[in-house]
Amino acid sequence: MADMSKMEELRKSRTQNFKNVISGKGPVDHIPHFGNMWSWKYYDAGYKFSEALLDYNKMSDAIGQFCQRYPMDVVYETGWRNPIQVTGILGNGNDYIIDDDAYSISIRDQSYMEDGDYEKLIANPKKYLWEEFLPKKFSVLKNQNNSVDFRKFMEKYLEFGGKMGEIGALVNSYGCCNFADPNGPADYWGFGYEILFCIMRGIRKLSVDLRRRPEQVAAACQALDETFAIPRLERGMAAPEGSNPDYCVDMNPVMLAHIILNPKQFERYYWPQFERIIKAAKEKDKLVFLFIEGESKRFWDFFQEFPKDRFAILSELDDVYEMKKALPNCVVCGGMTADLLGRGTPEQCVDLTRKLIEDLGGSDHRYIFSTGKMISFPNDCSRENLQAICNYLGSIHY
Amino acid sequence: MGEEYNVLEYPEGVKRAEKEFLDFLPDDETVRDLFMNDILQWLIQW
Repeated sequence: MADMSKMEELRKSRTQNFKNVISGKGPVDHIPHFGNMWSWKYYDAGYKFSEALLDYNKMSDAIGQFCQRYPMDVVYETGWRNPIQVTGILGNGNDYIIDDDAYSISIRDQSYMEDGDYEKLIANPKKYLWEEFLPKKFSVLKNQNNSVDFRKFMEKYLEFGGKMGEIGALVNSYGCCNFADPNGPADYWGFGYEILFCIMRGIRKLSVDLRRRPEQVAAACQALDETFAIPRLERGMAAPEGSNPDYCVDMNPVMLAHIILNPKQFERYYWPQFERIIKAAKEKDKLVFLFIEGESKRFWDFFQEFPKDRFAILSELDDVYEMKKALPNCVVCGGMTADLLGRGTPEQCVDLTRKLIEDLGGSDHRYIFSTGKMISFPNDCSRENLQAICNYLGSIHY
Repeated sequence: MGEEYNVLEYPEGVKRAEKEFLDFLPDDETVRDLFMNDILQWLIQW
């Protein structure tokens, strides 16, 4: 492992460079590499997926190997994505299905909130969530003396937090950046509509709710936002102005639940969260990295409202060239395909990398390299190709 | 440790859980309430 002070200097310069790419305020000395790398890391390290998820030492070893083998600015997923050791202790483990051959994890559509629960959620969200929702989701909490089990959960939860801190420090020791401020004014997907979609009502039932009970959906979103998103915003607005120097960005909203919305519905249920994010970005001088699963083109009229020089966008399925043209107010991230990364040659991968940089970076180099897809399965990437890309990106300095 | 209780009873159980589990935080009700709210969000979302 290289000299720690050199790695700390590297981490700091990479962090500032990332900010400069988004803000345009300072010089860009290289094209940042955002590592959109997920369960493939564990495959590459020689572990089964379930092995890595159930053993923090193996998870840490895999991530350390990854950082050593593939120097890059940001390793986005560092073990936080699937905290099954914590949720499993409360009886939610059976909802996950891990396929070790495919390196995939899936979860059945979660819908613990029943049709009749809307009124209770709206009337007193904290009471409903603690007393009724949580025991529906976590079977062991149904018993009246659940402090025994909650104690076990807290031990696992704090252990998980500690391990994530250790892995974060490990990643930093390779000069990789801390990505998004965990105390920023907006959470990843911690606002009403996303929570309803992802966990409380689920895809199928919420899709029906949007047609049959739109007013209740709106009121439920408001109740959840008053419980989570708005207090977080207030905390963030009370914090010092300016982008946090220890992180590449201050907010990292993740779009998952937009996929079932038309533009009118997006305006009603989703846009209010972006209005909060924009307010914090403009008034507190913050930077935002928007991570979009699926595609988002029908919402680009809204994205044109993002303040200039504050937003970078990574979209899984949108064409990065079209996005660049439609959203000159934003920096685009992405463009490398899993198809080429997994099945092409190193030369082809480097050629595409070069083209993306030339086409999308422009004379001021304001582009962030990444894949659109979350690299997960063995065929999504080859070691040789990723190393070739990392070497190429590492050779370019402005 | 004392008798066991229902952590999920709101607000009494939640407050009791704050006292028991969050003693590593400053003895400030606002700070502990916020942390407990973050735990609630985590439990819902993950």
